[in-house]
Amino acid sequence: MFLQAVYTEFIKIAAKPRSYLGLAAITVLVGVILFAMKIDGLTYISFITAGLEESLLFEGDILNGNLMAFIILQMLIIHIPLLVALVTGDLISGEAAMGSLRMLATRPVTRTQILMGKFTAGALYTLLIVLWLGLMALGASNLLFGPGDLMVLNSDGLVVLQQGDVLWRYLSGFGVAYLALLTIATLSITLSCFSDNSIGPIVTTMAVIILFTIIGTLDVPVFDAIRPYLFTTHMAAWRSFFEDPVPYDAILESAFILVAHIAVFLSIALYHFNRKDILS
Amino acid sequence: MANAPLVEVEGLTKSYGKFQALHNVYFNVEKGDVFGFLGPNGAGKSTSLRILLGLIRHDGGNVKLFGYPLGTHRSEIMRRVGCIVEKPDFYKYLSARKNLEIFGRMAGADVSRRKLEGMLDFVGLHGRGGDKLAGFSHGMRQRLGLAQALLHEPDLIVLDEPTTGLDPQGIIDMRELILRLSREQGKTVILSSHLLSEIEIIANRMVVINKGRTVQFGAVSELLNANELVVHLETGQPDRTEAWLREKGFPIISRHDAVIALPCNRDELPALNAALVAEGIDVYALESRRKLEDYFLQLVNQA
Repeated sequence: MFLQAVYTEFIKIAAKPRSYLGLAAITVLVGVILFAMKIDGLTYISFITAGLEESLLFEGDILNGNLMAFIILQMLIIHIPLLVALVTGDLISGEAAMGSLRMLATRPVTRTQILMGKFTAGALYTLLIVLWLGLMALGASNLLFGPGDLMVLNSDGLVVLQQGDVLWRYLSGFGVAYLALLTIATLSITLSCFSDNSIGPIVTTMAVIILFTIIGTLDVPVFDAIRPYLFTTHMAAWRSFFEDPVPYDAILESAFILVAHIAVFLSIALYHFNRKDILS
Repeated sequence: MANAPLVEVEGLTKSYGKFQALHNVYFNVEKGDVFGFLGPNGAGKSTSLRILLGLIRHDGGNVKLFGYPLGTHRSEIMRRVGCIVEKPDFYKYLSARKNLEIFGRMAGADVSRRKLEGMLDFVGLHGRGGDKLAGFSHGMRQRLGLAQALLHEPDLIVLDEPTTGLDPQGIIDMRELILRLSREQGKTVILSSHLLSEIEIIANRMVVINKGRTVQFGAVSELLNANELVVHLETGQPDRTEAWLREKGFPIISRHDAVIALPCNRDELPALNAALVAEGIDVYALESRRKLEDYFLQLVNQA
């Protein structure tokens, strides 16, 4: 019955026009970035490398597909949570608003099966978004700009990664980015259990992300104790795969904190949904 | 357990915060019953039915279906129950057939094309399976609601106000469908309504609830005994009429201005009228209603 629940949830997600907004938005945004870079990319790159050219000599094609993919990920990964929450925040509350949750809850399935079915379908949708982002960022960039060594400027300095050393970093980075987005998806599903309208959980999810991000970036001692445990602090952990050497301990810690958030959010959702009076 | 009622409800209580929605609701439904669940708006009908279907948790009392407690055997019980709670709300962006498939799958039903089309035919939606729900009228949605309730071939069907919002022909069609389910397929049906006339036409047993309490429960034929009437008597001399009635030993139920209500058997009506006229009292109206009908109308008016 659980598999039926997942299957029917995916049918519903696939039939909703809003589910394609995310994919369409990624396609358009990647297209816009690639178009701009193709026209004026060298100016953009020289602006970044201007400060380094006094001490370093850059040779070869810096503006290549791998760098484009990194720039695209940097720019878009901040906006993807909204695209994910747009679908996952609606999974329970949207049905409550429509009245179909009442009909769904009278089927011979447990509330846990209903919620886990929705969570699994939401997780698959989030994976689809990440895969599409990856395909667009890596595939389209490499097609348009060609492959090359990746130059990454981070807080520790400049890292140059050989062309053959890049793909596994991207794949691993997508894995951690997926965990971060799954945390967002779980948060929005949890909030969705508490609401009977579909906009509330989506807006609240974004508000939580903004609030936690502000707390995380405000360099004041009062937040020092909680900052390492906020999931937003670990949403950019995918970038760590582009450091040399790769800080595996820090990545594992981030992954653990994200998984812990998923487990806590899901437990709250299950507890509440199993006790909820369905009145809508 | 074989002879146990299909549905047993005892001492059901439920509150929402400080508001006590159900105080003490009790009733039994036997196999094969078309059971009327009657009460004015806000009486607690929907709350009771939602508890029966596991949508709402009850605070106290016992609910058993098919001999099993609802709290511990909900999934097994719901395999044998089909329902429409209030109005059926489907996924508007999907076709009627896809909606049926989704709810059928979740009930473990056969969702083959042949089965789905057969069910659409049964409820009078032949050829509309491919249409999106957004274009369906209320009556068509109600029919589709019945189809989803029947798809997994349940033994018990719970219908919450199934004729609300339907046009007169739709109401007749829905009643016929319910009666067919009972007579031809032997289904047990629980039907809620705030219309006594509707329950009277369809149901063989019923419960009347008001303000969260069971106030009447039993066979419709007994509760609506045609011989037990309440007469509403309007005369030109109400004070004199009241005094005369008391003198003759008629128990007066109530008096509102010139209208006096009193219990009376059907056979006694002509003699009462003749006696009043002979007494020189001008009788403007002598309206008789069955006892429960009168009582129920009072409930509705109070609500």
